Amino acid sequence: MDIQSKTGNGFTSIAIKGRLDAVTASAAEAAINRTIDSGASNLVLDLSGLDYVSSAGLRVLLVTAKKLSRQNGKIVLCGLQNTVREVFTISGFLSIFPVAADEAEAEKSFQIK
Amino acid sequence: MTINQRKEGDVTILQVQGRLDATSAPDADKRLTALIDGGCLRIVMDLSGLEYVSSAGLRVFLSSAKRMKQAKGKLALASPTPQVRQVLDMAGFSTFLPIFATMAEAVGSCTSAEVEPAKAAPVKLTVAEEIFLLALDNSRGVIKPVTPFALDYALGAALLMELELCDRIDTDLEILKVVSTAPVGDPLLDETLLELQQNTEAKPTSFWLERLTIRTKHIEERVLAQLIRKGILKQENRRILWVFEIHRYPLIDDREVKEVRARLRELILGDDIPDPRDVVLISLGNACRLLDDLFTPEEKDRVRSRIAALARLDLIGDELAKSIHEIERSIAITSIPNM
Repeated sequence: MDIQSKTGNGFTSIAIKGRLDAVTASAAEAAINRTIDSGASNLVLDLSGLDYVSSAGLRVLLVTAKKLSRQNGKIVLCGLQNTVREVFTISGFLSIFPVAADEAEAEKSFQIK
Repeated sequence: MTINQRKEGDVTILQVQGRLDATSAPDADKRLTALIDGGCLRIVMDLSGLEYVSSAGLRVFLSSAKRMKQAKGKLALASPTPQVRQVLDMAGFSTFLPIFATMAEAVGSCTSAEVEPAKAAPVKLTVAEEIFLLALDNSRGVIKPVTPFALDYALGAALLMELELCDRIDTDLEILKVVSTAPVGDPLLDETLLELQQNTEAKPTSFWLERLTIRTKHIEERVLAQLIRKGILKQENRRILWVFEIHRYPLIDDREVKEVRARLRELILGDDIPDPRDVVLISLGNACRLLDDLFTPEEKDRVRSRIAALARLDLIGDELAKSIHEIERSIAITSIPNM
């Protein structure tokens, strides 16, 4: 797994590449927490490079979403690959996470209040 | 047995040496009672010299922990030998009594602890125990009628979910795999983890649900036993004129049940994002249709879609729901001729 973050216009984008599972979940959570703790409350998770997500990975996303909602922040997912989208659909995560096609579309969702 | 007493800052340290058994327990108990009643509200028991502890000894820890909790003080155990540690863990003591590997940590925890208006530490329950409590009919003291086998499946699923929350296993849409073999410290969970490890070939979650369900009668009894040991439930055998012996589980107080019920109710009625543990409970409760009782008929309609959305968020929960639907479908088919 490789994780990179960059600051955009009114949001921080985190790109997670590779596999998000029990092996990588704690590193991913730590990286996301660092971003949130440094003051970011609007996050875009760019999952276009994510090949695989397991239950442990889903939990990281759930915990992150909960943390952000407490700070009146928001998380938007974008760039879901088909295999990952399938997991999100079956687990119902798509019903609680806003999903955008790409980062540009995700950015718009922060401007509409 | 000897007990040496000294002070470190405002923490009283009791160094226990020798054997803590039926012979020495009354002395130890008197000593601790006198200290706590006398206002020593930060006590660390140094167990490095304790060679043996019997159940009479465990009762001393239990009653002291209880007394200290009532006094709103702090009691911690430090540096038990591996043998003593094993006994403490098997008896589930680590859930209500902090146990530290070193004296420094134990003293530190008591020093930093807010001793005065301390909030009562809730008893830590496993997912399986919480589901058991959710399934309990408080007014009658029996398990509520649920779809046959639904609770069996749910308890099996609860073990898997807890192992997942502890990062011992991981699942996806296809398989369940063990990612860490480190024991959790709960006998039932550790046995399950061991069983999962013994299969070298990765199997789907549904396989393990079936497999665990085969021995769930046993799991249900053990979960009840743990709840009794944790002081949540007590059991009275009541023989009635029936083929089967019915067990009633009157609650000592329904604080723990309220805790899980109130928590789930609040979460479901609100629009908060749940934490993973709550998701797991909702998922299990919904699969066994135990959540309906938490709501008034008016509320039920309103929360139905929210419950469905929350219950799906766990992959093991999805597999469980599938298995139970399967059972319900087959029951519906076989009962048609009676209609």
